[in-house]
Amino acid sequence: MNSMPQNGNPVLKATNVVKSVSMPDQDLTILSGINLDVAPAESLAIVGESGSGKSTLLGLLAGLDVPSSGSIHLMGSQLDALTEDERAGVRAAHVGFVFQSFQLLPNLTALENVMLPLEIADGNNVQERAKEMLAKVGLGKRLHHYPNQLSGGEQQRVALARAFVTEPDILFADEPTGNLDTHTGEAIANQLFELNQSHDTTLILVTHDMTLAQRCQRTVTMNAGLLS
Amino acid sequence: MKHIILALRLLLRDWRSGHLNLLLVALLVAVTTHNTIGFHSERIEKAMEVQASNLLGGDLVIKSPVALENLRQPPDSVQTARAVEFSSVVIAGDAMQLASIKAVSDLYPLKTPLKISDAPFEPDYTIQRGPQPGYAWVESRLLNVLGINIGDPVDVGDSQLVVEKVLTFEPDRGGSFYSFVPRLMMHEADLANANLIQTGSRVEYYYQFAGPESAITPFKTALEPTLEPGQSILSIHSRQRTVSAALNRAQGYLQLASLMAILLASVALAMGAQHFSETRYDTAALLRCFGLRSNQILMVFTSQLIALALISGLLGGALGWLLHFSLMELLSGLLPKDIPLPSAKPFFSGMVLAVIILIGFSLPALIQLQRTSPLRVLRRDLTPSPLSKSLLYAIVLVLIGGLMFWYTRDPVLIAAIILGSLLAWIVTYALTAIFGLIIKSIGQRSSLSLQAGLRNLSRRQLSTRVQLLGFGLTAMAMLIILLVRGELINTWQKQLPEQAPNHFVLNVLPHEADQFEQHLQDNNILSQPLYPIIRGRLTHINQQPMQQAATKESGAEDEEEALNRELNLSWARALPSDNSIVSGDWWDAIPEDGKRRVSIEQRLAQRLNIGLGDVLTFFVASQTFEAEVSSIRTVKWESFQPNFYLMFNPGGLEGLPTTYLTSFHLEPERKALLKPLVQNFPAITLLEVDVILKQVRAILNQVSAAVEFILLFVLAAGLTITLATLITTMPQRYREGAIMRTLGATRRQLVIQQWAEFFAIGALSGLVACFGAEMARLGIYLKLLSLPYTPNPWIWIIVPPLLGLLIGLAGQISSKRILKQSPAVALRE
Repeated sequence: MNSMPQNGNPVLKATNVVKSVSMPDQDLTILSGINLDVAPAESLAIVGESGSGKSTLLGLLAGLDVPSSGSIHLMGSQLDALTEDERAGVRAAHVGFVFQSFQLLPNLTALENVMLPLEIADGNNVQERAKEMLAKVGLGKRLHHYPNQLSGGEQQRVALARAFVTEPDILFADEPTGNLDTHTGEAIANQLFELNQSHDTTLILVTHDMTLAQRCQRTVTMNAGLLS
Repeated sequence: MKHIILALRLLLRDWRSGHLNLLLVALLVAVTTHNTIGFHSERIEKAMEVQASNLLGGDLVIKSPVALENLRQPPDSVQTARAVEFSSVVIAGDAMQLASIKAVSDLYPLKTPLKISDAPFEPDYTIQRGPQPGYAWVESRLLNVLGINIGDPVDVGDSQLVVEKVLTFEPDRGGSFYSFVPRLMMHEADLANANLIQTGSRVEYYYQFAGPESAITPFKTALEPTLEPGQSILSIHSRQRTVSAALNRAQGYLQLASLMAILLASVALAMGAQHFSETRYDTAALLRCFGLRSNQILMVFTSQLIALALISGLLGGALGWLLHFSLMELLSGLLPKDIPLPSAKPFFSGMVLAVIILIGFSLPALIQLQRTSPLRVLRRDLTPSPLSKSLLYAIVLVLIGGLMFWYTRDPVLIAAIILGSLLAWIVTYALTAIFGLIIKSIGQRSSLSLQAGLRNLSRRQLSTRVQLLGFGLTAMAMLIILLVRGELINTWQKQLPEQAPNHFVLNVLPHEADQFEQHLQDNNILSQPLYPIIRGRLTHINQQPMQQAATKESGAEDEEEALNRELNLSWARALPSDNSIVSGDWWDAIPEDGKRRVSIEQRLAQRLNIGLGDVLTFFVASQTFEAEVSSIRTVKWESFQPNFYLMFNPGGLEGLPTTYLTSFHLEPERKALLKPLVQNFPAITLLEVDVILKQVRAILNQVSAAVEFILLFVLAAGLTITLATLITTMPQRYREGAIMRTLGATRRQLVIQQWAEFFAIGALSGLVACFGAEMARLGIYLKLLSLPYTPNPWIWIIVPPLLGLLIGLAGQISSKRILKQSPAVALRE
C-alpha cells in the first residue's frame, strides 16, 4: 500500500524500498517494498511492535543507511544514488534528529551540545542561538550543566533544543519518550510538537506509544517489514 | 579550516573533562625523555667541540715519542711552540706525588691562553705565556697533596722550582676530561737540569704551529712524507675520539634507556589512542549524523591529536630543558665547565617525535573512527570494523623500527633489542601462564575478594603482560646498574690473590736497574722481575703495511688503536708465570740460531689476523727490524703482573733504548716506603692501583647516577602503562565495583581486590626483573669480565614484594574513585 500525504508535494518519498541483511545461512528481509510520501510540515508517526523494522526504516529515510533496493528522495535528493559523504551533506542541510537515548556528548555542557550542530554548519551567533533555544525548552538556567548532572527529561529537552536550533526542514525522532516516565514523556512530547509547529518542520516520529502517535497528523504502522 | 576550529573547540572541551590525560601523560613522558637526552647530548657534543678546538693548541700539531732535532723549519709567517709531556714524581719536603709534567717553550701557548690564579680558589685570569725558567705552575690539588703553598720550592728530578701560580685552565691538556694525576707546568729550559728524560723514557713531544692557512697547509703537505712511524699529525678529529670514548659510551646507555622509555610510553599511547577512539565512536556517529563527511571526521580527530602532540611537545620541551641541567650536574665531574647552551634542535625534533608517535600509534584508532557508521546513533551495537591485523602489525612495526633506528642508528643493536624483547616477552608469557594455573589451583581456598582481584589479571592477559614487561624491564635495568656498580670493583678486588701487586713502576732507567732492585730488596719489598720495555710500533705484517693488513680487522676503533698506538715491547728468557702457550713453542724449545723471534698475545693475534710463522716488522727509535712469530700466548691481564702483547727472545731487542718495568705488593701501612723510593729514583713513574681504583669508582658512580636518572623516565613510562590499563578498564571496574557494593561487598573487600591485582602485577614484574638481572649478571661476569658468578638471593627476597607494594599503592590511589562513588550513581551512569 502506498501511504500518501494529505497535502502538498512530498519532501520525502520512498519507492519500493527493500532492506535485507545477509545472515550466515540465509538473507533476512527487514523491509519489503515500502512506499511512503511525506508532505512539507506534515507530522507522521511510524508505529509498530519491537523488531517490526521501524527504526531501520527511519535510518533509511534519514539517509543514515541505504536500501537494498528501491529509492528514497529527501528534499529532492535521491539518497540511494548518493555516497555516504554526499548523504552527509544532505543531512547537514535539511535534517535534525532526536533519539531515544538522547545521544548527548557527555564531555560537553548542555550549551555546548546545542552549539555543536551550529558549529559544524559554521553558523552565526552560535552561542546566542543555542542559549535562546535552551531557554525555549526551559533550561535557560542549566546551560553549563553536563548531561550526567541533568535528569532524563532535561537531557531530552537539550536534545530537542539541539535538533531545532539548526531549523531543519525535516526532523526524525526515534522513540523520543521511550526512556522517560509517562509524565516527563508527555511534557517532552508537548515541547516537540510545539517546536515542530512553531518552526514549520516536517516531523517523522517512530514510536510504539500510540498516545504519542495519535498526536501526529498521520500514522502508519509497520508490520513484519510492511507498512499498513 | 572551520573543521580545524571545530576540532580545537572539541579538544578544549574534552581536555576539561580529563579524558585526554592519559595521552597527555604518555606523550609528556616520551617527549620529556627525548628532550632531556637531546639537550644533554648536544651539550656533551658542544663540550667536546670546545675541548677539541682547545685541545690541539695550534693549527697544526706534530706528536712524537722522540725529540725531533731535524724537524723541517716552517715558513716565517708560522709561529712555533714546543711542549714536552711525561710523568714524574714531584717532591716537597717529606711529601711526594706523581705529577704529569709539561715543559713548555717561550711562545707557548700559541692559541687559547692559559688561566692561572695567584692562590688556590682565587679568581683566575688569562695569560698568553707559560712559566719562566725556575718557576712552576701547578694545579691546586698538587698543592693540597704536597701540603705546600705558593712560593714553596718543589723538586722535579734534579731541578728545584718555585711554585709561582695555580694553573686553572690549560687549553691543550690531552688525554681525557679527567686526569688521574695533577699537572705541573715548567719552562723547557729547566728540563735539561732535571735529568728526567733519558733515552727510552716515556715522553711525548708536541710541536705546535700556528699561522695563516695559506702557510700551514703547504707546510703540512711537505711535513707528512717526512714523518716516521710513531710520529703523527694531530687533527681535531683524532684528539676528539680519544677524549670522548668514555662519555660516548655513557651517551649510548642514556640513548638506549631513553629509547626504552619512549617505546614503553608508546605502548601506553597506543592503549590510550584505542581508548580515545572507542570513547568517541558516539561522537563520530553524531557528527556524521549532523552532516560531517568521513574525511572531515578524520580531519577533526587528527587535528585534535596534532594539537595535543604540539602542546605536549611544548611542555615536554620545557621540562626536558629543566631536567637536562640535573643530568649535567650528575656528570659535572667528567665535563669541562662553561659548556655552551644547546640549540633548539632537540625541542623541534621533540615536537616531531610527539606528532609522529601520537598520530602513528593512533592511526589504527583514527581509521576506525573514520569508518564509524552514522547509523550507530540508532544502533549502539554498530562498532566500526577493526583494521586488518596485518596492517595493524605493519604500522606498529614500521613505527617501532623507525624509532629504534632514529635513536640508535645501529642495525645490530636493534636486532639485539628485538631479540632481547622477544626473550623477555617469552619469560613474561610463561610467568603469566604459570600464575594463571596457580590462581586456578588456589582459587577455591582463598577469599572471594582476593580471587576476584587475581582473576582480573588473567582476564586482561594482554595488558597484564605488557605491564609486566614494562615494569620488569625497568626494574631489571635499575637492578643491573645497582648490582654491577656496587659489586664490580669489589668482586674484582676480592678475586685478586692476597699478595697481588698493587704498585707499578715504569721508567726504571737501565743504569739504575740493579740499584733499584737492590733498594726494593733492602726494604723487604717483594717485586716481580724487572722487565725491559722498548717502545715501538708494528708497521708491517708479512711485508704488508699495517694500513692494508689492518683492514682485516672488524672494528674501526681496533684499527685505529693497532695502527697508531705505540706498543710496549719486551723480552724474557723464561715464559712469565701467568702466561701459557696456545700454539708454537717458547724459546727454550727452539734451537738457538740467532734469529729474532717474537711471541704474540692471543687476542691481538686474532685481531690482526697474525699466525705462527708470520713476519712482523717493527719500528723502534729510528730503526726497522723484522721478527718471526714463533708462539701465541694467553695472558692473564687481571693478575696485575707486568704483561706484554709482544715478547722477543733474549737478544731480540739488543741495542735498543730500554727502560724497565715491574710491579710489587705493598701493604697500606708500609706506604711510607714509597717516598725514599722516588727520592732515590726520581725518573721512575709510580702508579698506585688503589688510588686509580678509587678514581675509577668515582667515575663509575657518576656515569651510573646519570643512567639511573634516565631510568626514572623509564619507570615513569612503565607507570603510564598502568595508568593506561586503569583508565581503559575504569568504566568496567567502576561498574563491577558498583554491582559488588550493591550486592553487599564492603569497601574493605574492594580494597583487598584492588590490592591483590596490583600487588600481583608488581610482584610478578619483580620476578621478571630478578630473572633478567641475574641473567645479565651471569653474562657480564662470565663472558665480559671472566669473574666467578655468584647468584644474589637478596634481590629475590626484596625486589618482588617491594615492587608489589609500589605498584599496589599506585593502583590503589588511581582507583579510589571506585570506592568513593555511591553504587546508585555508578549504575545510573
